[in-house]
Amino acid sequence: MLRNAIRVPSGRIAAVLLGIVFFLAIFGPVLAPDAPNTTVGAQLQGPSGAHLLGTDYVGRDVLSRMLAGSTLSVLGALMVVVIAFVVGAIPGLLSVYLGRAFEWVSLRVVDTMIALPFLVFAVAMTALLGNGVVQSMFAVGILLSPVFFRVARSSALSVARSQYVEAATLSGASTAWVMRKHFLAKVLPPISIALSTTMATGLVVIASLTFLGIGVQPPTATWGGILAADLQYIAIQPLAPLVPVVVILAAVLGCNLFADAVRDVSGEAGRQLLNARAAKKAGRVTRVPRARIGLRKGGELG
Amino acid sequence: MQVRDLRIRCTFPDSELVHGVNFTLRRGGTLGIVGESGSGKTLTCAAVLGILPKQVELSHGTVEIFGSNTASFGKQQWVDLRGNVISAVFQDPGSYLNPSIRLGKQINEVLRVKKGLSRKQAKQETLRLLSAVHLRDPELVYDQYAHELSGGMLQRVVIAAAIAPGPKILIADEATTALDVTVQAEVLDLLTELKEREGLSLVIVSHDLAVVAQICDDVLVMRSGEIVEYGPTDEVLQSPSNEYTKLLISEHQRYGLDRIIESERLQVA
Amino acid sequence: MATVSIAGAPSRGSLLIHHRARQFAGAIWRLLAAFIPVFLLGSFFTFLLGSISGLNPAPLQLGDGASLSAVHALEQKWGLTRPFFDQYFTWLGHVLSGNLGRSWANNNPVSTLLEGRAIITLSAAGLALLIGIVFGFALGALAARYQNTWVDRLVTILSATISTLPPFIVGVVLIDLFATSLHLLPAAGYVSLGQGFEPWFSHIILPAVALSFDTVADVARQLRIGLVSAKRQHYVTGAVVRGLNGRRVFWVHTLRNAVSPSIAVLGLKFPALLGGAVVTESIFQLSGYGQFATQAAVQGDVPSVQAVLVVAVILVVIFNMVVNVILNALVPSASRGT
Ligand SMILES: Nc1ncnc2c1ncn2[C@@H]1O[C@H](COP(=O)(O)OP(=O)(O)OP(=O)(O)O)[C@@H](O)[C@H]1O
Ligand SMILES: [Mg+2]
Repeated sequence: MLRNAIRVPSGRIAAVLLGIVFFLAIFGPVLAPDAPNTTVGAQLQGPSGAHLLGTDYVGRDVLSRMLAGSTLSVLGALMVVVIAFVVGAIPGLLSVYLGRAFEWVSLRVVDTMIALPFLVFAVAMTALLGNGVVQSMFAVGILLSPVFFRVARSSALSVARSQYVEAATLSGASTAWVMRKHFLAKVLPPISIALSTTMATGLVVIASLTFLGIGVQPPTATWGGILAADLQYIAIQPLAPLVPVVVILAAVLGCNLFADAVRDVSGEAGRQLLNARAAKKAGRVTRVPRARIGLRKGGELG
Repeated sequence: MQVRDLRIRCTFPDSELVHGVNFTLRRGGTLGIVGESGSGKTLTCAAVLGILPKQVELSHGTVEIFGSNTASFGKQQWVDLRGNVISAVFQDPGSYLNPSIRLGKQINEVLRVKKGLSRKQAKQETLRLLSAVHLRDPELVYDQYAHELSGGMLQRVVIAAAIAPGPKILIADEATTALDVTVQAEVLDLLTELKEREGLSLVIVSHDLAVVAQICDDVLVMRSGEIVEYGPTDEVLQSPSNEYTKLLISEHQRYGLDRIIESERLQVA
Repeated sequence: MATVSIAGAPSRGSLLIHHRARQFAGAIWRLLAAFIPVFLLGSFFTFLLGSISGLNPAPLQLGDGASLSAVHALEQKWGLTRPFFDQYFTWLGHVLSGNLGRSWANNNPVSTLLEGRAIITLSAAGLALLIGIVFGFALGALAARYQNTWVDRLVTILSATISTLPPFIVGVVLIDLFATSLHLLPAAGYVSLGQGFEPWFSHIILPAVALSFDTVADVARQLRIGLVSAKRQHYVTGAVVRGLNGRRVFWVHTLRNAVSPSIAVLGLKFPALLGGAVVTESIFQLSGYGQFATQAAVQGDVPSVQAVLVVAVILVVIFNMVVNVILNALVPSASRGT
């Protein structure tokens, strides 16, 4: 499926963006030319040879701070996704198998969580429970978990109900093979879509919280924190906020484009799209006859 | 109403769907159109009503209604024509009524817009129409929604809405197809009754030769966009000249069409 | 359903009234059944959060060096030593009777602290909602009207783009553009409506626009889908055949059934509008309830935080009930579960 996703343009752009973002998150602090928390020059300078993105209100190198901040901003969002997945998917699966009472209660809880004004609760939870990085990740992760509850629940329901799993088992295919095929074709795409859209939301929420100074306090560098500081001095350096703005947007866009690409290439419509593209590339007629597509082997969607 | 050499084509993919249909509907007359599924019956009606779907156009021929050619009609003229002069009812009547508006209101709307009645007059007239189509409880139906009635009752409501502004021509495109036999007979009776009482001319479209045989003066048999037979009902039924018509009739013999032909023969004699 | 009219032989009028009354009662019951659990659970989470934070008023009222016995006495005074559910139901009872408790920071009733601030937040969120409705409807209608043309594609791309832009980013760019560079609008602060419409509007418009993007995009998308599918429905053909003109067919018949998904989406977006206030208020330095919530949370003023959260939950519940009533009135045939 990943291989297919990068066959469409949006998937390729997403791969490049996400590649850069994760590279920065891991190696950013090492690459930084200066220490993120030391004054290295005059205050609020524009870009120059010595400081490619200029300096901030206490004379720190902006590029170094952006690079240093990328770890927390990106890996923080990734942790949020992991927590949301675990907290959401497990009850989501159990809601199908554990009986009526649990199902009813868990559905009500999820309905309520979706109706909560998300950011206010994220701020309140983080701050009241100790106002640290870990707290903010758990708060946001828990609040985003309904997404995975729903995906896990609908996947479990589709397995439980799907007749073709039963039919294939009857016709002698091994259960493991059937489950694998079903998982790859029916369950993996929605989960990957949920993972990447939640990653996008996580990036935005972590940036919002750090912007507010919740969970992470200055001088620790984060994209949101840098943006908040830039906003204070916007009258002197009106272009400075654009640096964190562009970086955050690029990361969010990468996640959203990846979700789009997966959406485009999965399912029957996706298979047609891929085949049409392949045909076009090979210089054949672009119109792929419908009947033949249905006969192609379905394992391609892996 | 006169239809001459009507040709309808689809622009994408380019193909002709109806290849030259001619018929005349006399004042107070009843025309039946029969033919297999996909033979172009509905498209012909749509052309007459000016509601051909996108990508489908009238490519040739004329439709003349009370002496005026509809080819030159603008939007406003079509709006004036529909309802006042010509109207139609279709299969699956429930879907032709707005699901969110009370049934009475929808007839009311037509009366106020087309005949300029006041709210109060329109309500009275609506109730009269609802009882004219033999709905048992007009007051109740007035305040109900489409999903609260059965198919037969809905078809009566749709007929009431169609005849509300007093049209001269009513097209019934498979108006009784999905209904069960007794209800179908009731609705057909209603149509004949309205024809006599309100002086309507009817176009009855059906798969079912028996339906047409019962109430039509003339019959038009269509197959894949062409007329295969056209003439007075008893002539066509008794001495069909076309193989396809013969086939249709022989298939219906089993279902008691012969008895209808028999009784018609008696009437003729 | 047909049985209703057939069975109505003896007393038709009363039967009809009875029938409608039963439907109405059913609708009310469904509404309550859907929203009471949300309110109860939402308020429960809120209270639970304060409780598991383990915070007490001592740091705010006694300072850092307070003795253990003094802290204990204070906890007793605020009722924090009582069993959890005892505390919860007392608090819930107070909330339902309009008493939001007292702030640990200054002992004032939270409701008076919130009063002036809620108006600021609701101004921004309300205007954002209005922008969302107006522009969302305009764009959606345009896309549906010119379906499959470049207009449609442009609207689709536009709404896909703006729905990914988070409010605080939009806010910063708007300030940069309209306040810092063009000097057209004030960058920050709030002026009450009492001091004139124009100053009020000029302070509230940028935050509202920043908040509204997501709503505009979603309303446009839903309306487009709704209109495109409603246009194909038979009842539209039916109305045309009865001789109604195009404008009437659109406004009375098509639109009514096409708007319900976009109205439903407003119900889903409202929590995000309230939540987004936290960040936009910080960007535009509006002292609304979002700023209040942030400050109170950082201070550890548990009753104030709980009050803000429960008020937000109540607002969401009320808003969604209104949305639900509107939907039921517009499309009575759609039986809605939750
Ligand atoms: N919107 C359209 N675009 C293209 N082709 C169409 C369209 N509507 C109908 N057709 C074609 O026109 C032909 C005639 O259709 P029409 O609906 O008039 O048949 P019909 O005789 O009414 O059939 P039925 O008895 O099933 O209602 C069919 O072959 C159909 O495929
Ligand atoms: Mg037809």
